[in-house]
Amino acid sequence: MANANYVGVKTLIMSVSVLGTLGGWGFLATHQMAQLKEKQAQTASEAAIMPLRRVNVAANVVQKPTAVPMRQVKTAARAVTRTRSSR
Amino acid sequence: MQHIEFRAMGCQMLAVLDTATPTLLQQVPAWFEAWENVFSRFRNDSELSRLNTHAGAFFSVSEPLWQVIQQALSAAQISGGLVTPTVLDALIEAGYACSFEQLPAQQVLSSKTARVLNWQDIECNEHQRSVRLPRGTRLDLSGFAKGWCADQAVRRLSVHAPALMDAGGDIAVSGAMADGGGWCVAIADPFAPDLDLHQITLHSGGVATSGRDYRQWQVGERVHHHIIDPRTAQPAHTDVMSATVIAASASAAEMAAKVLLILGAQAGMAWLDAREDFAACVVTELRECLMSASFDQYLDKG
Repeated sequence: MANANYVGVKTLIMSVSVLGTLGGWGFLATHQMAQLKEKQAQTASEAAIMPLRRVNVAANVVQKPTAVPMRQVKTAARAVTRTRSSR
Repeated sequence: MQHIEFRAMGCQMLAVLDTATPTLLQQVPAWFEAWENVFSRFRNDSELSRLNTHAGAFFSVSEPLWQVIQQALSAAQISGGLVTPTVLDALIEAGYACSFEQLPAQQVLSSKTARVLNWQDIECNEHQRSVRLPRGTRLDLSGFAKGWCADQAVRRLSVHAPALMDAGGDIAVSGAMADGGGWCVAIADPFAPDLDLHQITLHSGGVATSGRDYRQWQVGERVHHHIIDPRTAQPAHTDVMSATVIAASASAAEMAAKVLLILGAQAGMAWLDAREDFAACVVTELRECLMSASFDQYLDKG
């Protein structure tokens, strides 16, 4: 009889522990899901306020330089001379 | 058309007169030899070298040295100190201690770092035509002398006929050619020495190119060049490979070209675009060619 009571109590305790653990994990999972959803909502909100922007590094140049593709021409016969870095 | 070519100041020189009449072109090399005796830091007995050994006291100078020093101080003021004559010690510390033809391709330098002293501390007495350098200050005029020499040579030659003077790539013209047309000048490609980027037509003023494509040398893993940034006292850290500027004189073009190289493509073109007196073409290390809006009028579209 005592042994049966001991087993019963032990079973009860183990059950409560398992159930409590499962419940705990469930609570944590639910809490983390809620946090994740909250964060996603916040990010979406921020994205609406600060849309992705590309900075044009040349934006502060008053007159934007005209970029032309490099081309090379042989010196025409009528060029008197050429300017170059001193040599 | 007559011309004469010669070597001076470590560069190839060309003087052109648009006339068939015999002229005094043969005198031009002697002019440059005399000027080199004034301005060269590589000649121990040059007037500049003697000035540099007299820092701390007023030193009487010749008219040419006075003019170039005044021009250098003016350039320093216009450029906000970016182009200054007080870079000699920084140049030497960077490895440019002798004439470029004698410079070793690979050098080992000490860890010593020179300072670029304030150009505003240089005192000038116009009445006595004398200059006092602050103690510890030595001048290098290589960023100013060739442009001044080109302007002076053209002024002298123009008495005979329309003239062009090419002083190592710093070019001055006296005015239009005899037929009223402009002088056709090519702009060298810094990445391909035998080829040119563009051709321009000049009716007056001058054009100059500043670049780090030629006067460079190896220091360990780094490549040094001869354009000192006074803010760091080191060769300018820049994305510009070469900068070509057209201005009212070769001297002014020479100054502005150095400003562009030191500032870099973006900031340099912004600096230039704010000034009506200059037109520029810049080639970056990424092989981009940028031109100011004012440059288009000079392009030879033929």
